[in-house]
Amino acid sequence: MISYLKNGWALLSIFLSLIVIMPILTVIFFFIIPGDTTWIHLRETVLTSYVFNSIILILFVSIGTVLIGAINAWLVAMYIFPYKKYLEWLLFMPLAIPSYALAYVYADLLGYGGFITNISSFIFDDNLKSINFYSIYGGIFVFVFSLYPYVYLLMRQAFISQSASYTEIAKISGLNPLKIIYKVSLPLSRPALVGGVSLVVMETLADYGVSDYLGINTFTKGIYKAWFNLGDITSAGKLSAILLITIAFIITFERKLRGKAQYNNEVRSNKHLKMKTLYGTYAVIAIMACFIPVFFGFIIPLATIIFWSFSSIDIIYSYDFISLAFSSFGLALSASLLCVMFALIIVFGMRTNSKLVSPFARVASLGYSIPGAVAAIGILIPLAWLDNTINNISLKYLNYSTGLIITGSWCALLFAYLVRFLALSMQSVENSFIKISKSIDYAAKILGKSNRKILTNIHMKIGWGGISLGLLIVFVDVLKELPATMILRPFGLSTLAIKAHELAIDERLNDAAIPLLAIILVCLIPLYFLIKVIRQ
Amino acid sequence: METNKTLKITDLCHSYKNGNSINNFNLEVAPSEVICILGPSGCGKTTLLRLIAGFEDPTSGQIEVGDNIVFGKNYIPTEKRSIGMLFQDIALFPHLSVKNNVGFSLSNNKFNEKVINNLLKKVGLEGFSNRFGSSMSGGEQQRVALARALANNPNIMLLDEPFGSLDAWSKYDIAYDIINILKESKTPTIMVTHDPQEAMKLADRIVVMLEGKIIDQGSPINLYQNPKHSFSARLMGHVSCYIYRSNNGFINTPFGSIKINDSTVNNDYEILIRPDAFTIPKNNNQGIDIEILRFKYRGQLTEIEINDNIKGNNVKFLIYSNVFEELRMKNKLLFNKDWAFVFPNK
Repeated sequence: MISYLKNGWALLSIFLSLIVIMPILTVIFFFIIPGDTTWIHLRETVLTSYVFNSIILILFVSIGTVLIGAINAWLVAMYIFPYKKYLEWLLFMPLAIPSYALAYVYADLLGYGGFITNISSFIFDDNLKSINFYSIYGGIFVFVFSLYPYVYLLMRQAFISQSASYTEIAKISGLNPLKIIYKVSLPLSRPALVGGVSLVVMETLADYGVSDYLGINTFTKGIYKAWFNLGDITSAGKLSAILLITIAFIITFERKLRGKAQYNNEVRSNKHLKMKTLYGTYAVIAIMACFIPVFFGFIIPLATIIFWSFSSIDIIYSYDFISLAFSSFGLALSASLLCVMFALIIVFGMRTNSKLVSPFARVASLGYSIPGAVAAIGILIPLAWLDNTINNISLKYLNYSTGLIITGSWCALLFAYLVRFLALSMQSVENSFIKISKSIDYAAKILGKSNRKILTNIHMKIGWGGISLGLLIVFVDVLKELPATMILRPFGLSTLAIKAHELAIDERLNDAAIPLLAIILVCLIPLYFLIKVIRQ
Repeated sequence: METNKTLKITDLCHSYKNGNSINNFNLEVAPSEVICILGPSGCGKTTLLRLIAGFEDPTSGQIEVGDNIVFGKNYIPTEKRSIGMLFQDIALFPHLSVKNNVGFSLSNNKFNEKVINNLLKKVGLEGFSNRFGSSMSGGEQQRVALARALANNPNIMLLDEPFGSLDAWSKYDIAYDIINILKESKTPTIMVTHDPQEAMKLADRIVVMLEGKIIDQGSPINLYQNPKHSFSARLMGHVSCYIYRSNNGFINTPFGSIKINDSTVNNDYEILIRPDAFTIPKNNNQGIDIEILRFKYRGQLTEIEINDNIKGNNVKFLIYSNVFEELRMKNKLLFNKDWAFVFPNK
């Protein structure tokens, strides 16, 4: 007990975790409080469609991403074919393009007077009806081609690291190649599959931009509508609570599956599967299979956005764009610094006293699975309470009204980013700290260094790579973020993402191109590092 | 000023969720003394080091390092306990040069080339000061770790299986060097190991731990000749093991009967016999007749199977191979009961 009390570091870590946990608890609280008439109205009218649309979306997006992600992962892990060394990495590229950008691009290309519609009517000499992309089908298409890399990433890793011994045993037992895939390789990579799909599901549920643009009534959009159009925080809170609890279920389910599948890496062998070379038709099929998702998920959207940007290039010089870029990068930088600072303290706290700190840290990192809109609602309530309290105290003792000083400031927004993205920075920091042997801490401690000195002089220096990756990842995620920023932003503040979305909604896609391009270019940097890390 | 380099542990207890890991542990270590804590994994030996170092806190008891009570009536955190430690994974700071590793704990005014070079010279690594751990062998790295620990002139030194990661052929050269350096600096040393050979070769005193308790301790020769527990008897060297029932204060074995203290009740006893017990008698009137049924050559030792006239089945025992060569010619053995250890069978 003594060291628990003397370990101020662990207590600080727990305190910081609790700050992040607070909004999560606030949202859960909404589940139990009774709703007012607006809620009853919502429940009786639109709730079913929110649920139905979200389920359809999740179901088909999961199927689509698994098909594309797993097949390509299998091809890349098991076979050698022409251009594989480029395609293998190009398959990751859609990660750099926000889903909503894909929605803008395809809605335009397939819409009336769009490029594809024009070509098809030219070829078929027929005034073909434009395809209605503003539908749940459009949403499914967008999510599948923008989110499949999550499944691909994890499955590829799982297939590559699978020990050859398993397949050899299966071969000796007389199984044919198809049966080996079905009976051995797939079950062994099930944790990766489930992990990838749950990431896809969480991203789909968290989305606001796509569903708003394509007019799909999903949960997150419902939360935003309840808050902004109806001004009803209870309903927004209740919707958030339902979404949060659903996500908690998904996470628990995934953990359960993973827990049972711990046999995954039992054979510790460096002997990996031997790759086969594909020739002729098979090689062409493999190339096409890898190229199609890259084409739809990366090449077309990027080319279109670049094309749009030509006609609006001069807005770069406008004050508007510069100030947007400035506030976006400023927000992203402060958020990433804040997240990494929290992550450093919490992860180091876990090292000093894992038993005590870990449970809090784990709950705090659940924030990542919470959609931005939910996090925003969870933050608004406690901050508004704090604001009111400060205002009342000030009125009572100083006879001066402070107004709402925290809500609607950068603080609230940064807090939301912290709740949402702390897990990302924690993961990067943890991954780099995990490689530092525990004896290093002990050695430094025994040589008389305080925890603070050990963190700054040793861990931060050895783990610098992981820490900067954490900074980068949070930076780009904040840059892309829409719903939390829209709910919590201070009056008059806009970001590149918000501006692009507003312009897109106004059908000024050409003007939206430059902010989008700025986001995509910045997103390519961490992607480059991610690929570099995977390659090693 | 000469510091008091000792360690005293009194009634130390520690428990994890699933039970006690250290149970009423008492130990005193004198200046220059090298103590090896020997035991199987999970016996609490590493926990003991962690408690002394302050990485974990005992549930009760007292730890004194030098003149200071570091746990008990008083509490001193790890960084102020004046302890040196070597780890199995060596734990040199990878981002620092040898010089900066060795000087890690020194304050700016104490950190100078001369001090560092003296320390490096002491551990036999002159001229290494600008190198990095990654360019050195495991043994060299462990020497740097020693210099780093000695820089502080610690009151005690804790060694957590420090030679476990070293190559088998160079291990003892480095180990002897390190122990000698520690003895010269009069630093009492506690080394944890699961390798009895290592303990035998390096320790002044071996403490055998089982389930959080000391079950036996003494000098290597003492533990070999006079173990107080069947576990330490097995640990310290080869034994042939049997279970026989006592009969009115005697235990009859195929090699002769052994007297025990308790003659009131007949009980099962565990008898452990070292190979040293068997020699070839000088003249033919002495010794017991041995009819070898089978034998298996095992290097220094040979395992022999004979008929057990007590139980009526076959029994195996170990003797030195050079004795065996003579035994084959003479078929007679002398049995020295001093090398047979008797413990109640649990």
